[in-house]
Amino acid sequence: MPNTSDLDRALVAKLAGDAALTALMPDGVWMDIAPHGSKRYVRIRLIDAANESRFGGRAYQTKAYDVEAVALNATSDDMDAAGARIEALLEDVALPLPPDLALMDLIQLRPLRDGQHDDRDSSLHWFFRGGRYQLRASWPDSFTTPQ
Amino acid sequence: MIKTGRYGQVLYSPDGVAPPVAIVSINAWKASFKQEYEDVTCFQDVNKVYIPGMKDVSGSYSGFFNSDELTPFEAGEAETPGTLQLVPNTTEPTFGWEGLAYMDAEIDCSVDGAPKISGEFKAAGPWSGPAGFGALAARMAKAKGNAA
Repeated sequence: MPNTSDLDRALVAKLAGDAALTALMPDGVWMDIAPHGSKRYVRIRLIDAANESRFGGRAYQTKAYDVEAVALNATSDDMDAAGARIEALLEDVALPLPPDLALMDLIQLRPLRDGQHDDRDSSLHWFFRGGRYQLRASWPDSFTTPQ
Repeated sequence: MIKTGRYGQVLYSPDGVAPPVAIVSINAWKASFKQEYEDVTCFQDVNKVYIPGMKDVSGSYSGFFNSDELTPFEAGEAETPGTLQLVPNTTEPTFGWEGLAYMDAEIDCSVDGAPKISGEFKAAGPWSGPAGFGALAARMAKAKGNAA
């Protein structure tokens, strides 16, 4: 039985395995929250999810993620490049998944961009750049009945 | 007993001999066994009066397009009817409806969803309900055994 978190892990692996993105965001790629002290990283948050059913099981699952480069800096240098790199890695690409799952599509629903003052140092800002991505994957056709 | 529709099933045998096989990626079916009624109201009747005519067996199904499952489209091309079985819940496999039927299929593909299929069926022979469910498939299996 596939694990829905396999989809999350596949996204992380795709982004974390890219040298260009790692050079821009060296503190890594994280689901939900980055380790304390991280200043340049990619954050993935699950925003929405839905299942479509068929008789005897799940037909496919749709998940929407906010995928953003997050950086604490005086200027927004490199944020354009980080957002563009995320888009290049996730927009309409083949995403390796475990054998039980089959990728249907991975697309950007909308771009994301934001900025916030840092609470402790007013000369610095948190910059966010990326997009909301929709991932759909189909489940195996095996028919299940309750035991 | 009231059961969920999650474990419903649509099974089909194209040649009417082999046992019906589940069609995968289907998520809904509907069958109608409505009677026709003839109006036989006469003078002095205080209300309309009807007598039953023939039962009309037909229905529909829907689901997702699955490139590993082309049975609905092959059935739509067939010139002879196949055996169709409709099961509300596979945890009660003795309850269902079955009979010979012609099926058709259509596909609906759009940019924002998985391609969906749907189709209709019409009876091509006598149909049996829960009381006689499985008898047709059993006869087919027996016929297959005799032929082997």
